[in-house]
Amino acid sequence: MLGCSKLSVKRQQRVVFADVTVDFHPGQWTAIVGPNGAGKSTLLLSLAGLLTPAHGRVHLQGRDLTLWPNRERAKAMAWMGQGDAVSGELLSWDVVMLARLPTHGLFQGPTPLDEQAVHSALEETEAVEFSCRRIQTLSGGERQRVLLARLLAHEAPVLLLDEPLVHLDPPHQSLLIQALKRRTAQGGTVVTVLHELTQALAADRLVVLGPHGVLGDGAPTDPVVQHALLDVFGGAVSIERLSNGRLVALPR
Amino acid sequence: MGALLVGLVVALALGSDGFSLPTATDWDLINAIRLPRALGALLTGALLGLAGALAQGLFRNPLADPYLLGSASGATLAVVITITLLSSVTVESTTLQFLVHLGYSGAAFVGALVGVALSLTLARGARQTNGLLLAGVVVGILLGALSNLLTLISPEALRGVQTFLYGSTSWLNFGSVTREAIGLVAILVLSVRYSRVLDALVLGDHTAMSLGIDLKRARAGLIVCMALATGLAVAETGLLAFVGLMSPHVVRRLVDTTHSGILVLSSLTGATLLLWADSIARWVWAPQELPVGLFTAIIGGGYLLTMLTLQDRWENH
Repeated sequence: MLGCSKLSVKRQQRVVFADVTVDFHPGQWTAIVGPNGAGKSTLLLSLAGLLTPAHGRVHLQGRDLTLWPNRERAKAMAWMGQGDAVSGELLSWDVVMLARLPTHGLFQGPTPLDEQAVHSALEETEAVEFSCRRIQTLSGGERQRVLLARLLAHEAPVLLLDEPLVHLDPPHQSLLIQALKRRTAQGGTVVTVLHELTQALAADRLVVLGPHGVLGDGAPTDPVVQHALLDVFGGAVSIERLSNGRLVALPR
Repeated sequence: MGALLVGLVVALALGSDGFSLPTATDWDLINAIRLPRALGALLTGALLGLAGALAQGLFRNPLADPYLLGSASGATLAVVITITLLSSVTVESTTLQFLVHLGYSGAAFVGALVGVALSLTLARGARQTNGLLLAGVVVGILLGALSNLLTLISPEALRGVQTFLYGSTSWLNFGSVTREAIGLVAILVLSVRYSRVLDALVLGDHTAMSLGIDLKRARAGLIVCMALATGLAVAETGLLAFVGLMSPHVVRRLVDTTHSGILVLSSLTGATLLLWADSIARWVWAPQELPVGLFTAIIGGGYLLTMLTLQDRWENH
């Protein structure tokens, strides 16, 4: 579905990562984890086609990403960054409606179908009550829920999320994870960059990104992947299995 | 809207000797002098309000104004050059004679666009807004220094430039009204059509791009709209402080709307603001006239000061 081969990215003359080859599959939620500065966000930006790689290529549905027209790409794939840069007086409803831009285009007004998509996305993140409030007046967690609704309202088959759980309280964290799992159950491709390892361990697949590229790739239960995870954090964490079978990561 | 219409009536009824009911000769006066002036003030205000709303949306900065990116300093320099050339007898260079031929307003228009073009070249395009703002500052300083140097060399330019810097609506005629009206309609239609780009920029450059917007081109187009609106306004009235900064500010405070609404309402607010400021400037010390730029500066400065003191109360709106 979505993938990259031998991808190298430079930002401000510095090589962030080199020679990364990884593929993401429909029906699968992949979590990218790794230490600060390993290039997780940069990798996600490149996959979204928002950064020009120094070498290598990104492909979506078997076609080189650079060959995709902007609007078609935007329909096929939605990306959400860390929401700290968001500022302004737009109402939450209008922010979420931006997700429909690729569908109805720059010059056409939203259709009832667009409004329905916006409404159900806001419902999914329990953000309907903020629809008529300006985004800048919301708390961090409330704003994050609106921004997540914006991503879900795309109804795109590929979803890329950078730290989607940040600012969210535990009930809304699990609400989002359920929403993402609904997407993968319907054949969607979900890729998240996650800082919280315990949440990452709940994903279908872990990609461990270290200073020298991908160090581990596979199911969170795979001992090789777990070993790579412990390794990349210099043994500062341990992975435990709870009695209900869930994995948790604890700082040592 | 109401304030705009009342303002128009006041502006027309206001003669150099105060208010009076129009007599037959007054009607001629109104038609020949006050009408184009009032309409011109209205259109200039609208252009500046629109340019300000574009600037604040493009640069995601509530303090951005239309004179950013070197348009003000470019226009000033062009006017200084023109005045200097007109006062000296020996004009050889054909490119410079071109400026003379254009007259002050034509020169100011060209100068404003050249200023913005310089900033864009210096910043290598519109990709990085911070780099572009910085380039605008640099161009402003350099062109400003050149203007100062020229006024030192030819002191006769100083007086002319002074009225340009304060801004004045007294040069407006039906020709300028026509130019401004056509320009305003075209730029307003175009920028409202692309206003969703400004909405998307609220979520940052990357998100806007991920929504399928060709940001480089869209931003360049909107900058051209802003530069044209500013250039048209500067050409007819010189520099008018704060109209472009304040109008979108007021709109964004009071109305919950997307950028298409902000652009239209900022134009209306700018029009109302300048019309009233112009009437006041003509009335306060009648029959003497004060430069309208002084009044927009006083109103704008007062507004910003009020905003600062009331900030806590506003912040929770």
